[in-house]
Amino acid sequence: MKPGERLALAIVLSLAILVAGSTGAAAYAWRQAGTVRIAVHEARPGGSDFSMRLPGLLVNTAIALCPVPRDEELNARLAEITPVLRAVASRLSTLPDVVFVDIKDGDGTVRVEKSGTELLIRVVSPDEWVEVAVPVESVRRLMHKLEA
Amino acid sequence: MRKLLGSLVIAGIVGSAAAADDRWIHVRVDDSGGDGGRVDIQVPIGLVATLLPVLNGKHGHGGIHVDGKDVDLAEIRGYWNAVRGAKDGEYVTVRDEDSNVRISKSGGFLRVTVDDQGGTSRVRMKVPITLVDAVLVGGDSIDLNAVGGALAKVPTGEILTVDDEDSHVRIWIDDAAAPAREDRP
Repeated sequence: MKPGERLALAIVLSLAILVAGSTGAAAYAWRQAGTVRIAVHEARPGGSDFSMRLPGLLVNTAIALCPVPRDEELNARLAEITPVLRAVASRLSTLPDVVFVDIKDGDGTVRVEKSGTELLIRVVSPDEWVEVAVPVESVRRLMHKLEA
Repeated sequence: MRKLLGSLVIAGIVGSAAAADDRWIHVRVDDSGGDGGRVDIQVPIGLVATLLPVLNGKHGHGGIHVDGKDVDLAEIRGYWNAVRGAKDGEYVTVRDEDSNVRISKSGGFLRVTVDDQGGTSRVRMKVPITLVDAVLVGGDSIDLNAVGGALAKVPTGEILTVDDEDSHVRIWIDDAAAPAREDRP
């Protein structure tokens, strides 16, 4: 193999490793960040059916970049509750998978649970079905941002 | 009486314990009549404890309601001080045509037993004296921080069971979370 070809091969291999490593790291970060899911389904005829999935990585980036509104009253309220909520979010991340609240009656169910890295809230009634899943890490980051 | 006792327990739950406490407090309500509803709540005591600063500021004030009537905390505190300072024993025994009620103090616990004469309703309550102290330690309010500190010292086990013809209520502290009932094999 000529020296020029060796150099080209080395560059190509380096680029391949760089791309593969970056892709792997991005995929890992993507998976670790989880997904924010919101789904609403109305059971009545003509009812709405809404579903949204946002990558947690995108949400975390938005949390990092978006400015916190400068409002004295709002900031005073946030200062009161965000340290507590941040502590709760941090504590949540250390807990095993568990159902915190499970309420069932004749009309429906309400369930709040931690499943994997997500906090999952599910409300089912005869009229509608709502599911909200939020990565615990995103909640923690949001509370940290609001507290700052 | 049940509302009073329930208020004490709920205040204890809300104002739970030190952040390092990994035990879980469980509340389970089964409605055996009508639609057969149920409520299962379980929260790490340490997790609830982190909410104390907010809850204490917003909801730490107020009184206790018994059968829709406001009961003065100072009045209850007076009764409690009298009981707390006395020796272990049975302090209240009420027997009427509807129910038998017994309130006693023994082994560091306040024990309340209510049995309906028809045998359809039954209340068993075993509350550590330190917890009742904490509920009543404040001035004109319930100090949730104090309640939390006391709850951290409550031994693992049953705190309250209520059985009547329509519902079953159980509150207890355990070392681990319980799986959701429908998830169990």
